[in-house]
Amino acid sequence: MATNIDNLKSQMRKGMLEFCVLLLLSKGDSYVSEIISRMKEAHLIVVEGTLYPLLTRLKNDGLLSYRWEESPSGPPRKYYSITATGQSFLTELHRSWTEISQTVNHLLNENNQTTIQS
Amino acid sequence: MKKTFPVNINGKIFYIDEDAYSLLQNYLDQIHQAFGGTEGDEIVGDIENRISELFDERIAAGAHAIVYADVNNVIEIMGKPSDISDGDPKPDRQPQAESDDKTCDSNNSSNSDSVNSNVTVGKRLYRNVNNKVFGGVIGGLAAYLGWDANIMRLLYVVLSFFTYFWPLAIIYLIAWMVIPAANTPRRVLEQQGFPVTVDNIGQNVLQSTPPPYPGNNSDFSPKGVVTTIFSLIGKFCMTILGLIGSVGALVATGFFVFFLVAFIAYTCFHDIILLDFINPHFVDHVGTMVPTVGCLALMSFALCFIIPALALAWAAASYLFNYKGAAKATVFIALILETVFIVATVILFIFTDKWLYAF
Repeated sequence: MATNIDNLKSQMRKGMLEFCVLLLLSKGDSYVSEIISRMKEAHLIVVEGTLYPLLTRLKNDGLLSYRWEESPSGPPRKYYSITATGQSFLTELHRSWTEISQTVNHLLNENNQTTIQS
Repeated sequence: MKKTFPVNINGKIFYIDEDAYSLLQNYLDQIHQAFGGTEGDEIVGDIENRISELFDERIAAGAHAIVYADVNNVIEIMGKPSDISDGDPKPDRQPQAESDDKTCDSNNSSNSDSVNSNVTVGKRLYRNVNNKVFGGVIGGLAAYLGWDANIMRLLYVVLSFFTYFWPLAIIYLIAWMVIPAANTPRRVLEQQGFPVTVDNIGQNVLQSTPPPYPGNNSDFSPKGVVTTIFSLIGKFCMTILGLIGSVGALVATGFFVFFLVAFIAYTCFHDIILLDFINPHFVDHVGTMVPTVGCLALMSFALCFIIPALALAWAAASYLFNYKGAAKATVFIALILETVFIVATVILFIFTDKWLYAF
Protein backbone atom coordinates (compact mmCIF):
# COMPACT_ATOMS: atom_id res chain seq x y z
CA MET A 1 0.00 0.00 0.00
CA ALA A 2 2.79 2.33 0.93
CA THR A 3 4.42 1.77 -2.42
CA ASN A 4 1.14 2.62 -4.09
CA ILE A 5 0.98 5.97 -2.37
CA ASP A 6 4.58 6.71 -3.30
CA ASN A 7 3.80 5.66 -6.80
CA LEU A 8 0.80 7.94 -7.00
CA LYS A 9 2.79 10.81 -5.56
CA SER A 10 5.53 10.37 -8.10
CA GLN A 11 2.96 10.17 -10.89
CA MET A 12 1.43 13.45 -9.71
CA ARG A 13 4.84 15.10 -9.58
CA LYS A 14 5.70 13.78 -12.98
CA GLY A 15 2.53 15.23 -14.42
CA MET A 16 3.27 18.62 -12.90
CA LEU A 17 6.92 18.65 -13.87
CA GLU A 18 6.52 19.77 -17.47
CA PHE A 19 4.06 22.46 -16.46
CA CYS A 20 6.44 23.79 -13.81
CA VAL A 21 9.45 23.75 -16.11
CA LEU A 22 7.51 25.71 -18.72
CA LEU A 23 6.27 28.12 -16.04
CA LEU A 24 9.80 28.67 -14.78
CA LEU A 25 11.14 29.32 -18.25
CA SER A 26 8.28 31.66 -19.17
CA LYS A 27 9.62 34.03 -16.51
CA GLY A 28 13.03 34.08 -18.11
CA ASP A 29 15.75 31.94 -19.63
CA SER A 30 17.55 29.56 -17.39
CA TYR A 31 20.30 26.95 -17.53
CA VAL A 32 19.92 23.32 -16.57
CA SER A 33 21.52 23.37 -13.13
CA GLU A 34 19.33 26.31 -12.14
CA ILE A 35 16.18 24.56 -13.34
CA ILE A 36 17.23 21.49 -11.42
CA SER A 37 17.85 23.34 -8.18
CA ARG A 38 14.52 25.15 -8.47
CA MET A 39 12.67 21.89 -9.10
CA LYS A 40 14.49 20.25 -6.21
CA GLU A 41 13.51 23.09 -3.90
CA ALA A 42 9.91 22.45 -4.85
CA HIS A 43 10.40 18.69 -4.25
CA LEU A 44 9.21 18.05 -7.76
CA ILE A 45 12.12 15.84 -8.68
CA VAL A 46 14.01 13.32 -6.62
CA VAL A 47 16.82 12.46 -9.00
CA GLU A 48 18.26 14.96 -11.41
CA GLY A 49 18.45 12.55 -14.29
CA THR A 50 14.72 12.66 -14.92
CA LEU A 51 14.89 16.25 -16.07
CA TYR A 52 17.26 15.72 -19.00
CA PRO A 53 15.01 13.47 -21.08
CA LEU A 54 12.13 15.82 -20.33
CA LEU A 55 14.00 18.90 -21.52
CA THR A 56 15.18 17.06 -24.62
CA ARG A 57 11.66 15.97 -25.39
CA LEU A 58 10.21 19.44 -24.89
CA LYS A 59 12.94 20.83 -27.13
CA ASN A 60 12.28 18.19 -29.82
CA ASP A 61 8.58 19.04 -29.66
CA GLY A 62 9.44 22.66 -30.36
CA LEU A 63 8.25 24.01 -27.02
CA LEU A 64 11.74 24.98 -25.90
CA SER A 65 14.90 26.12 -27.58
CA TYR A 66 18.40 26.41 -26.20
CA ARG A 67 21.66 28.22 -26.77
CA TRP A 68 25.15 27.82 -25.38
CA GLU A 69 26.49 30.61 -23.23
CA GLU A 70 29.88 31.04 -21.64
CA SER A 71 29.78 30.98 -17.87
CA PRO A 72 32.12 32.94 -15.58
CA SER A 73 33.03 29.70 -13.83
CA GLY A 74 33.44 26.36 -15.51
CA PRO A 75 32.23 25.05 -18.85
CA PRO A 76 29.68 26.76 -21.09
CA ARG A 77 26.08 26.38 -20.03
CA LYS A 78 23.02 25.33 -21.94
CA TYR A 79 20.44 28.10 -21.59
CA TYR A 80 16.88 27.06 -22.30
CA SER A 81 14.19 29.49 -23.37
CA ILE A 82 10.53 29.03 -24.16
CA THR A 83 9.29 29.33 -27.74
CA ALA A 84 6.05 30.83 -29.01
CA THR A 85 4.59 27.33 -29.35
CA GLY A 86 5.70 26.64 -25.83
CA GLN A 87 4.01 29.80 -24.64
CA SER A 88 0.64 28.87 -26.15
CA PHE A 89 1.07 25.32 -24.84
CA LEU A 90 1.66 26.79 -21.42
CA THR A 91 -1.50 28.91 -21.60
CA GLU A 92 -3.41 25.76 -22.45
CA LEU A 93 -1.86 23.90 -19.52
CA HIS A 94 -2.55 26.84 -17.25
CA ARG A 95 -6.22 26.78 -18.14
CA SER A 96 -6.60 23.08 -17.43
CA TRP A 97 -4.58 23.46 -14.22
CA THR A 98 -6.95 26.18 -13.02
CA GLU A 99 -9.87 23.89 -13.77
CA ILE A 100 -8.34 20.95 -11.96
CA SER A 101 -7.24 22.95 -8.96
CA GLN A 102 -10.68 24.56 -8.73
CA THR A 103 -12.33 21.16 -8.74
CA VAL A 104 -9.91 19.74 -6.21
CA ASN A 105 -10.18 22.79 -3.97
CA HIS A 106 -13.93 22.67 -4.23
CA LEU A 107 -13.95 19.04 -3.14
CA LEU A 108 -11.48 19.78 -0.37
CA ASN A 109 -13.64 22.62 0.90
CA GLU A 110 -16.73 20.42 0.84
CA ASN A 111 -14.81 17.81 2.82
CA ASN A 112 -13.67 20.40 5.32
CA GLN A 113 -17.17 21.67 5.82
CA THR A 114 -18.56 18.18 6.37
CA THR A 115 -15.81 17.34 8.85
CA ILE A 116 -16.45 20.60 10.73
CA GLN A 117 -20.18 19.97 10.79
CA SER A 118 -19.89 16.44 12.10
CA MET B 1 46.72 2.15 -4.40
CA LYS B 2 44.80 2.58 -7.63
CA LYS B 3 45.57 3.46 -11.18
CA THR B 4 44.35 6.91 -12.11
CA PHE B 5 44.05 8.49 -15.49
CA PRO B 6 42.81 11.74 -16.97
CA VAL B 7 39.42 11.92 -18.68
CA ASN B 8 37.91 14.77 -20.60
CA ILE B 9 34.33 15.41 -19.54
CA ASN B 10 32.76 18.27 -21.42
CA GLY B 11 36.06 20.01 -22.04
CA LYS B 12 37.40 19.70 -18.53
CA ILE B 13 40.12 17.32 -17.44
CA PHE B 14 39.54 15.20 -14.37
CA TYR B 15 41.78 12.59 -12.84
CA ILE B 16 39.68 9.56 -12.17
CA ASP B 17 40.39 6.18 -10.59
CA GLU B 18 40.20 3.16 -12.81
CA ASP B 19 37.27 1.52 -11.02
CA ALA B 20 35.41 4.82 -10.81
CA TYR B 21 35.97 5.27 -14.52
CA SER B 22 34.53 1.91 -15.51
CA LEU B 23 31.52 2.48 -13.28
CA LEU B 24 30.88 5.87 -14.86
CA GLN B 25 31.43 4.52 -18.36
CA ASN B 26 28.96 1.73 -17.81
CA TYR B 27 26.46 4.09 -16.27
CA LEU B 28 26.58 6.40 -19.28
CA ASP B 29 26.45 3.42 -21.65
CA GLN B 30 23.30 2.21 -19.97
CA ILE B 31 21.61 5.58 -20.19
CA HIS B 32 22.55 5.74 -23.81
CA GLN B 33 21.11 2.31 -24.41
CA ALA B 34 17.91 3.19 -22.60
CA PHE B 35 17.22 6.05 -24.99
CA GLY B 36 19.21 5.16 -28.06
CA GLY B 37 20.08 7.12 -31.17
CA THR B 38 20.52 10.86 -31.33
CA GLU B 39 18.22 11.40 -28.38
CA GLY B 40 20.51 9.22 -26.29
CA ASP B 41 23.54 11.16 -27.52
CA GLU B 42 21.97 14.42 -26.49
CA ILE B 43 20.80 13.23 -23.08
CA VAL B 44 24.13 11.62 -22.31
CA GLY B 45 25.79 14.87 -23.42
CA ASP B 46 23.64 16.87 -21.02
CA ILE B 47 24.24 14.44 -18.21
CA GLU B 48 28.00 14.50 -18.84
CA ASN B 49 27.73 18.25 -18.68
CA ARG B 50 26.16 18.05 -15.28
CA ILE B 51 28.57 15.37 -14.07
CA SER B 52 31.41 17.66 -15.04
CA GLU B 53 29.88 20.38 -12.88
CA LEU B 54 29.43 18.00 -9.95
CA PHE B 55 33.01 16.76 -10.25
CA ASP B 56 34.16 20.34 -10.47
CA GLU B 57 32.54 20.95 -7.11
CA ARG B 58 34.40 17.98 -5.68
CA ILE B 59 37.71 19.28 -6.99
CA ALA B 60 36.93 22.77 -5.71
CA ALA B 61 36.27 21.20 -2.30
CA GLY B 62 39.85 19.95 -2.30
CA ALA B 63 39.71 16.48 -3.87
CA HIS B 64 42.62 15.61 -6.14
CA ALA B 65 41.03 12.80 -8.05
CA ILE B 66 37.56 11.42 -8.65
CA VAL B 67 37.14 8.20 -6.70
CA TYR B 68 34.59 5.43 -6.76
CA ALA B 69 32.46 7.01 -4.02
CA ASP B 70 32.23 10.24 -6.00
CA VAL B 71 30.83 8.42 -9.01
CA ASN B 72 28.42 6.52 -6.79
CA ASN B 73 27.36 9.83 -5.33
CA VAL B 74 26.80 11.28 -8.78
CA ILE B 75 24.73 8.26 -9.78
CA GLU B 76 22.66 8.75 -6.64
CA ILE B 77 22.07 12.38 -7.55
CA MET B 78 21.33 11.68 -11.19
CA GLY B 79 19.31 8.55 -10.58
CA LYS B 80 19.52 5.01 -11.93
CA PRO B 81 19.02 4.55 -15.63
CA SER B 82 15.66 2.95 -14.92
CA ASP B 83 14.54 6.03 -12.97
CA ILE B 84 15.69 8.33 -15.72
CA SER B 85 14.02 6.48 -18.55
CA ASP B 86 10.82 6.29 -16.51
CA GLY B 87 10.52 10.01 -16.83
CA ASP B 88 10.33 9.62 -20.56
CA PRO B 89 6.88 8.45 -21.50
CA LYS B 90 7.43 6.90 -24.89
CA PRO B 91 4.28 6.91 -26.99
CA ASP B 92 3.97 3.14 -27.05
CA ARG B 93 4.51 2.83 -23.35
CA GLN B 94 1.47 2.06 -21.24
CA PRO B 95 1.05 3.95 -17.99
CA GLN B 96 0.38 0.60 -16.37
CA ALA B 97 3.77 -0.75 -17.39
CA GLU B 98 5.39 2.39 -16.13
CA SER B 99 3.87 2.06 -12.71
CA ASP B 100 4.90 -1.60 -12.69
CA ASP B 101 8.45 -0.56 -13.34
CA LYS B 102 8.25 1.90 -10.55
CA THR B 103 6.95 -0.67 -8.12
CA CYS B 104 9.70 -3.08 -9.00
CA ASP B 105 12.24 -0.40 -8.48
CA SER B 106 11.00 0.73 -5.13
CA ASN B 107 10.82 -2.88 -3.98
CA ASN B 108 14.37 -3.19 -5.21
CA SER B 109 14.04 -6.95 -4.94
CA SER B 110 13.35 -7.73 -8.56
CA ASN B 111 15.52 -5.00 -9.91
CA SER B 112 16.44 -7.09 -12.91
CA ASP B 113 12.89 -6.95 -14.23
CA SER B 114 12.77 -3.20 -14.37
CA VAL B 115 16.13 -3.03 -16.09
CA ASN B 116 15.20 -5.82 -18.45
CA SER B 117 13.03 -3.51 -20.46
CA ASN B 118 15.87 -1.10 -21.11
CA VAL B 119 19.03 -3.14 -21.30
CA THR B 120 19.56 -6.34 -23.21
CA VAL B 121 20.23 -9.22 -20.90
CA GLY B 122 21.37 -12.70 -21.75
CA LYS B 123 24.50 -14.74 -21.71
CA ARG B 124 27.06 -13.85 -24.30
CA LEU B 125 30.10 -15.75 -25.39
CA TYR B 126 33.38 -14.23 -24.30
CA ARG B 127 36.80 -15.64 -23.60
CA ASN B 128 37.12 -16.16 -19.89
CA VAL B 129 40.26 -14.30 -18.87
CA ASN B 130 39.78 -15.27 -15.24
CA ASN B 131 39.72 -18.99 -15.95
CA LYS B 132 42.14 -19.79 -18.69
CA VAL B 133 44.97 -22.08 -19.73
CA PHE B 134 45.78 -20.60 -23.15
CA GLY B 135 43.32 -17.97 -24.27
CA GLY B 136 40.30 -18.77 -22.12
CA VAL B 137 38.28 -20.07 -25.07
CA ILE B 138 37.13 -23.23 -23.33
CA GLY B 139 36.69 -21.40 -20.03
CA GLY B 140 34.44 -18.95 -21.86
CA LEU B 141 32.53 -21.71 -23.61
CA ALA B 142 32.04 -23.46 -20.28
CA ALA B 143 30.70 -20.25 -18.74
CA TYR B 144 28.39 -19.83 -21.71
CA LEU B 145 27.04 -23.38 -21.57
CA GLY B 146 27.10 -23.52 -17.79
CA TRP B 147 29.45 -26.54 -17.77
CA ASP B 148 32.49 -27.21 -15.71
CA ALA B 149 35.54 -25.78 -17.44
CA ASN B 150 37.88 -28.62 -16.50
CA ILE B 151 35.53 -31.29 -17.79
CA MET B 152 35.35 -29.40 -21.08
CA ARG B 153 39.15 -29.20 -21.19
CA LEU B 154 39.44 -32.94 -20.67
CA LEU B 155 36.85 -33.47 -23.38
CA TYR B 156 38.79 -31.20 -25.69
CA VAL B 157 42.05 -33.07 -25.12
CA VAL B 158 40.40 -36.46 -25.63
CA LEU B 159 38.71 -35.24 -28.82
CA SER B 160 42.05 -33.83 -29.97
CA PHE B 161 43.65 -37.27 -29.72
CA PHE B 162 40.89 -38.83 -31.79
CA THR B 163 41.13 -36.17 -34.49
CA TYR B 164 44.93 -36.11 -34.86
CA PHE B 165 45.19 -32.84 -32.90
CA TRP B 166 45.34 -30.36 -35.79
CA PRO B 167 41.67 -29.66 -36.63
CA LEU B 168 40.78 -28.80 -33.05
CA ALA B 169 43.98 -26.79 -32.58
CA ILE B 170 43.14 -24.69 -35.62
CA ILE B 171 39.54 -24.24 -34.43
CA TYR B 172 40.91 -23.17 -31.06
CA LEU B 173 43.27 -20.62 -32.61
CA ILE B 174 40.48 -19.17 -34.77
CA ALA B 175 38.15 -18.99 -31.76
CA TRP B 176 40.91 -17.28 -29.78
CA MET B 177 41.17 -14.64 -32.47
CA VAL B 178 37.45 -14.21 -33.12
CA ILE B 179 35.88 -14.33 -29.65
CA PRO B 180 36.43 -11.14 -27.65
CA ALA B 181 37.86 -11.36 -24.16
CA ALA B 182 35.66 -10.64 -21.14
CA ASN B 183 37.92 -7.83 -20.08
CA THR B 184 35.40 -5.23 -18.91
CA PRO B 185 32.98 -5.46 -15.99
CA ARG B 186 30.08 -5.28 -18.41
CA ARG B 187 31.38 -8.22 -20.42
CA VAL B 188 32.04 -10.28 -17.32
CA LEU B 189 28.43 -9.74 -16.26
CA GLU B 190 27.13 -10.58 -19.73
CA GLN B 191 29.28 -13.69 -19.79
CA GLN B 192 27.70 -14.96 -16.61
CA GLY B 193 24.24 -13.88 -17.72
CA PHE B 194 23.73 -11.33 -14.98
CA PRO B 195 21.73 -8.25 -15.90
CA VAL B 196 23.96 -5.28 -16.48
CA THR B 197 22.80 -2.91 -13.78
CA VAL B 198 24.71 -0.20 -12.07
CA ASP B 199 24.57 -2.14 -8.82
CA ASN B 200 25.93 -5.28 -10.42
CA ILE B 201 28.63 -3.40 -12.23
CA GLY B 202 29.55 -1.67 -9.01
CA GLN B 203 29.89 -4.99 -7.21
CA ASN B 204 31.74 -6.50 -10.10
CA VAL B 205 34.17 -3.62 -10.31
CA LEU B 206 34.91 -4.05 -6.65
CA GLN B 207 35.36 -7.79 -7.07
CA SER B 208 37.51 -7.55 -10.14
CA THR B 209 40.18 -5.48 -8.48
CA PRO B 210 42.19 -8.53 -7.56
CA PRO B 211 42.03 -8.92 -3.81
CA PRO B 212 44.95 -10.59 -2.07
CA TYR B 213 44.24 -14.30 -1.72
CA PRO B 214 46.76 -15.63 0.75
CA GLY B 215 45.09 -19.02 0.93
CA ASN B 216 44.68 -19.53 -2.77
CA ASN B 217 48.14 -20.95 -3.37
CA SER B 218 47.60 -23.77 -0.95
CA ASP B 219 44.42 -24.77 -2.74
CA PHE B 220 44.72 -28.51 -3.32
CA SER B 221 41.22 -29.21 -4.47
CA PRO B 222 41.03 -31.60 -7.44
CA LYS B 223 39.92 -28.72 -9.66
CA GLY B 224 42.95 -26.68 -8.66
CA VAL B 225 45.26 -29.58 -9.45
CA VAL B 226 43.65 -30.17 -12.83
CA THR B 227 43.96 -26.48 -13.69
CA THR B 228 47.60 -26.55 -12.65
CA ILE B 229 48.28 -29.65 -14.73
CA PHE B 230 46.64 -28.07 -17.76
CA SER B 231 48.54 -24.89 -17.17
CA LEU B 232 51.80 -26.88 -17.05
CA ILE B 233 50.88 -28.77 -20.22
CA GLY B 234 50.10 -25.42 -21.81
CA LYS B 235 53.46 -24.02 -20.79
CA PHE B 236 55.24 -27.11 -22.06
CA CYS B 237 53.48 -26.98 -25.44
CA MET B 238 54.15 -23.27 -25.72
CA THR B 239 57.83 -23.79 -24.93
CA ILE B 240 58.08 -26.42 -27.69
CA LEU B 241 56.23 -24.18 -30.14
CA GLY B 242 58.42 -21.25 -29.18
CA LEU B 243 61.56 -23.31 -29.76
CA ILE B 244 60.26 -24.51 -33.12
CA GLY B 245 59.45 -20.93 -34.05
CA SER B 246 62.85 -19.59 -33.02
CA VAL B 247 64.81 -22.35 -34.72
CA GLY B 248 62.59 -22.05 -37.80
CA ALA B 249 63.17 -18.33 -38.01
CA LEU B 250 66.93 -18.82 -37.68
CA VAL B 251 67.06 -21.55 -40.31
CA ALA B 252 64.87 -19.57 -42.72
CA THR B 253 67.05 -16.48 -42.22
CA GLY B 254 70.14 -18.61 -42.81
CA PHE B 255 68.75 -19.93 -46.08
CA PHE B 256 67.73 -16.43 -47.10
CA VAL B 257 71.25 -15.08 -46.50
CA PHE B 258 72.76 -18.02 -48.36
CA PHE B 259 70.53 -17.45 -51.41
CA LEU B 260 71.22 -13.73 -51.22
CA VAL B 261 74.98 -14.30 -51.25
CA ALA B 262 74.61 -16.75 -54.13
CA PHE B 263 72.50 -14.20 -56.01
CA ILE B 264 75.05 -11.42 -55.49
CA ALA B 265 77.94 -13.71 -56.37
CA TYR B 266 76.24 -14.73 -59.59
CA THR B 267 75.01 -11.33 -60.75
CA CYS B 268 78.13 -9.34 -59.84
CA PHE B 269 80.98 -11.81 -60.33
CA HIS B 270 79.37 -14.55 -62.41
CA ASP B 271 80.54 -16.87 -59.73
CA ILE B 272 78.52 -20.08 -59.87
CA ILE B 273 80.14 -22.00 -57.04
CA LEU B 274 77.29 -21.31 -54.64
CA LEU B 275 74.68 -21.95 -57.32
CA ASP B 276 76.34 -25.25 -58.04
CA PHE B 277 76.14 -25.95 -54.38
CA ILE B 278 72.38 -25.48 -54.48
CA ASN B 279 72.02 -27.61 -57.58
CA PRO B 280 74.82 -28.81 -59.88
CA HIS B 281 72.60 -28.35 -62.94
CA PHE B 282 71.56 -24.86 -61.95
CA VAL B 283 73.31 -23.04 -64.79
CA ASP B 284 73.70 -25.81 -67.33
CA HIS B 285 70.12 -26.70 -67.48
CA VAL B 286 68.60 -23.36 -68.29
CA GLY B 287 69.32 -20.09 -70.03
CA THR B 288 71.42 -17.27 -68.65
CA MET B 289 68.54 -15.23 -67.33
CA VAL B 290 66.91 -17.85 -65.22
CA PRO B 291 69.44 -18.49 -62.43
CA THR B 292 68.96 -14.97 -61.05
CA VAL B 293 65.20 -15.41 -61.09
CA GLY B 294 65.61 -18.80 -59.51
CA CYS B 295 67.70 -17.28 -56.75
CA LEU B 296 65.10 -14.60 -56.17
CA ALA B 297 62.41 -17.26 -56.03
CA LEU B 298 64.36 -19.19 -53.43
CA MET B 299 65.01 -15.99 -51.45
CA SER B 300 61.37 -15.08 -51.27
CA PHE B 301 60.52 -18.71 -50.51
CA ALA B 302 62.80 -18.46 -47.48
CA LEU B 303 61.23 -15.13 -46.53
CA CYS B 304 57.79 -16.75 -46.52
CA PHE B 305 58.83 -18.86 -43.54
CA ILE B 306 60.44 -16.12 -41.48
CA ILE B 307 57.28 -14.22 -40.51
CA PRO B 308 55.19 -17.22 -39.40
CA ALA B 309 58.17 -18.62 -37.48
CA LEU B 310 58.76 -15.29 -35.77
CA ALA B 311 55.06 -14.97 -35.03
CA LEU B 312 55.05 -18.41 -33.45
CA ALA B 313 58.10 -17.58 -31.33
CA TRP B 314 56.57 -14.28 -30.30
CA ALA B 315 53.22 -15.80 -29.41
CA ALA B 316 54.94 -18.42 -27.27
CA ALA B 317 57.11 -15.84 -25.57
CA SER B 318 54.18 -13.55 -24.88
CA TYR B 319 52.27 -16.46 -23.38
CA LEU B 320 55.14 -17.66 -21.23
CA PHE B 321 56.44 -14.31 -20.08
CA ASN B 322 53.22 -12.30 -20.07
CA TYR B 323 54.21 -9.92 -22.81
CA LYS B 324 51.63 -7.70 -24.33
CA GLY B 325 50.17 -9.06 -27.56
CA ALA B 326 51.32 -7.61 -30.84
CA ALA B 327 49.83 -4.28 -31.87
CA LYS B 328 47.16 -4.48 -34.56
CA ALA B 329 49.28 -2.43 -36.98
CA THR B 330 52.19 -4.83 -36.59
CA VAL B 331 50.01 -7.82 -37.28
CA PHE B 332 48.50 -6.07 -40.27
CA ILE B 333 51.86 -5.17 -41.78
CA ALA B 334 53.19 -8.66 -41.13
CA LEU B 335 50.16 -10.15 -42.91
CA ILE B 336 50.64 -7.85 -45.90
CA LEU B 337 54.35 -8.67 -46.12
CA GLU B 338 53.60 -12.37 -45.85
CA THR B 339 51.06 -12.13 -48.67
CA VAL B 340 53.56 -10.24 -50.83
CA PHE B 341 56.24 -12.87 -50.22
CA ILE B 342 53.91 -15.74 -51.02
CA VAL B 343 52.67 -14.09 -54.22
CA ALA B 344 56.24 -13.21 -55.23
CA THR B 345 57.38 -16.77 -54.59
CA VAL B 346 54.59 -18.25 -56.65
CA ILE B 347 55.17 -15.85 -59.56
CA LEU B 348 58.93 -16.31 -59.49
CA PHE B 349 58.59 -20.09 -59.42
CA ILE B 350 56.27 -19.98 -62.38
CA PHE B 351 58.93 -18.03 -64.28
CA THR B 352 61.52 -20.60 -63.40
CA ASP B 353 59.41 -23.65 -64.02
CA LYS B 354 61.96 -24.96 -66.46
CA TRP B 355 64.58 -24.60 -63.84
CA LEU B 356 62.48 -26.51 -61.40
CA TYR B 357 62.90 -29.64 -63.50
CA ALA B 358 66.58 -29.48 -62.74
CA PHE B 359 65.95 -30.68 -59.25
